[in-house]
Amino acid sequence: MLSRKSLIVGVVALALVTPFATPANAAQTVVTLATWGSSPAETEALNDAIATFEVRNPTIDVQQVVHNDHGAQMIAKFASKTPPDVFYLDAGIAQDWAAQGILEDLTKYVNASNFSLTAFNKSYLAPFKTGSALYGLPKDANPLVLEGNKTLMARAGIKTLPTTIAQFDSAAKLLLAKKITPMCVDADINRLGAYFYSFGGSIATGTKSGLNSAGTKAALTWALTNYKTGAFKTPAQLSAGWAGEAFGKELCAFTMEGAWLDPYLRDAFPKVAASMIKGQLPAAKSAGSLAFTAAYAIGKDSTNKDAAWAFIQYMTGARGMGVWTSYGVAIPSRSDVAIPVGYEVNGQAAKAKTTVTTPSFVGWNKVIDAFNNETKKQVQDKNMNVAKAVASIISKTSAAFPK
Amino acid sequence: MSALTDFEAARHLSEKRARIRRESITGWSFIAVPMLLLLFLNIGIFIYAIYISSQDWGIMGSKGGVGFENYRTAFADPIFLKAVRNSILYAAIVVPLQTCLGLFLALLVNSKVRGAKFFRATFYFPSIASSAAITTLFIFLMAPDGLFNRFLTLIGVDVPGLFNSGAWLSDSRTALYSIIGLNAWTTSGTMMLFYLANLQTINESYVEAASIDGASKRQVFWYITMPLLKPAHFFVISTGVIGAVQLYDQAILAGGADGSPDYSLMTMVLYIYNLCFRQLQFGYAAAIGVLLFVIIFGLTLMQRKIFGSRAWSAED
Repeated sequence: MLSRKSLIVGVVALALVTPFATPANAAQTVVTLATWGSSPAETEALNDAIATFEVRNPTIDVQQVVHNDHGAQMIAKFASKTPPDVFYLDAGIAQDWAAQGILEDLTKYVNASNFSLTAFNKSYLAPFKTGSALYGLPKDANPLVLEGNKTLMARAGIKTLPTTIAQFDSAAKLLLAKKITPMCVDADINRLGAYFYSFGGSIATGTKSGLNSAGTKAALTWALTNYKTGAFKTPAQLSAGWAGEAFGKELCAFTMEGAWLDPYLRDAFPKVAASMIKGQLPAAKSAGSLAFTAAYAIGKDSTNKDAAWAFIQYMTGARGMGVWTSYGVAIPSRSDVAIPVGYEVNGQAAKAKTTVTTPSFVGWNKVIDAFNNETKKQVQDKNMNVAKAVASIISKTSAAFPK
Repeated sequence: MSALTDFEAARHLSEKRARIRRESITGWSFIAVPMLLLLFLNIGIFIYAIYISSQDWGIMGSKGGVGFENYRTAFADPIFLKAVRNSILYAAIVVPLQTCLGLFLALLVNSKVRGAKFFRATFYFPSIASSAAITTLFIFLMAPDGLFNRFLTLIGVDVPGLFNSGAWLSDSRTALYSIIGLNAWTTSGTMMLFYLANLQTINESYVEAASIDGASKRQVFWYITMPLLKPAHFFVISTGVIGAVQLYDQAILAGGADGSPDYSLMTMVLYIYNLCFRQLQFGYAAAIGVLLFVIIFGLTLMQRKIFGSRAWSAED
């Protein structure tokens, strides 16, 4: 038990010292960076990229804040006018947030810095543009590719990944005969939608539904038939949280994910990571894929906008993007940044003309919910009438598009 | 002499009134702070929500008034109507289940068996454990290769032939009922405590008198114990209904923010979350919040009418 005298001395000492206890480098500008949670590999890649930025910008200290629920937490911060200086902006929500007037238009920063946008893949810039305003710069791209487990494929006598729909159907028959689930893919428009383009259809044209096209109907018919025959299974049907987990546990021979799958498998399922091969998604009329992208953005009420822009300029420049993507967690969204070794397939898919980014318009989330709800309802029924199911999915999803 | 007495009486009355006034001021001072907090944080916020529901409200505030448009939208919105149906169906099944289970456990624990304290703590444990942790474990248990399906396989059930290959929480026909089963178990401990508290206030002499008069245990339970538990019935059912209609955490963990599949796990509170954070329609979400209040308030008034305005006791 402290004596009263010791306690008084301690309090007085603390009071005298505290005003002089300043953080190191008090002249630094602190830039807060808000991100969503990610894998250890992504965390390491981001930390390295930030470190290289800070070496080149010693007056800026980047402090990362990781959100469990990035969307909800960012909205709360926007509403209280205390957004972080820089944050991840997902392409799917970019137009919704831009319409709310909470994002800073980066055009003036781009022009003032003479920051060239020509190296960016235009389709990865598009989700962040509204008219002449630019609300984010894409930090990377991640197209869906086909991943296969060589061990399971060999058991069914399959030597190479299927490159066409017909080859996939044949491979699926062989795998099912060996009681191996061919493909684990969720009944999600952000997965199945990749085949709409391959079959000559689309998800959307602008803000209008593209689901009524013959190509989309053919793609949906093919996908639902696969769910009915067991060639496709959802992660829930395989007791997995997501398709990557099912693939890692060798519950399926194929899956379709982006480059985020590689570091996850290396960490959690190294044996499967070693036996994984990658290729383009099976092509119908043409090869096609869906790509996901996210940008760095600044809030209209962010405090340190100039320092935030300096950070974004670096991270979306050739050098910063090169460091970030060198870990293989994503593919560069710029053509002047090398594809990381081992990700050539992902890189080719990212650059392919037949790869489209997921739609981005105000109300896109409502369309996603409508498609996913109806499709999951249909695929749960082993006796589903595929034609009726396709019609129902198209009808209910199209009704969710903005009027 | 009389004049003095009148003066004394007037002085006493005046002093009494002053004392009463002082006591009132003291009493009101003590409750002023919590009352102000209640007024601001509960009633004030609710009134503000009614205002927001009349606006087209974005992240940064009002974009203009829309009157009753949000309410008209709600009544024509199939997802909202499904959410109402799910919430009321859930409450209609879970409340009787948790009430009966809670009463059964309370009677068990009150019967002076050996280890009653241990059982009381054990039965109450699910109520104090983290809801998210319990739901996550439940998701594992109910997965196609989970413990529940392994048990079914053991007793000869063809699990792959079942709904959605045994993925109970991913099938629109079984997802909500699976959550009902989970919550009837987790909330029964709390209801048990409410019943136990009331059981222990019942005067033993009523039971003894009934037994002396030749009543069987079943008759004592139905004609003595159950009526005397009326305050507990009202409290358990009211709080049960209020809690059940506001189901959210298990729904979002099991079905995601979109309440899939087929919106079978979309509840009113989950839809409010979906509208706020996925669709950024805060005015519409506020309107649904107001409608939720109306539903809960209506159900509570109905129960009050059924149970009566004051507790029934043996003296009445």
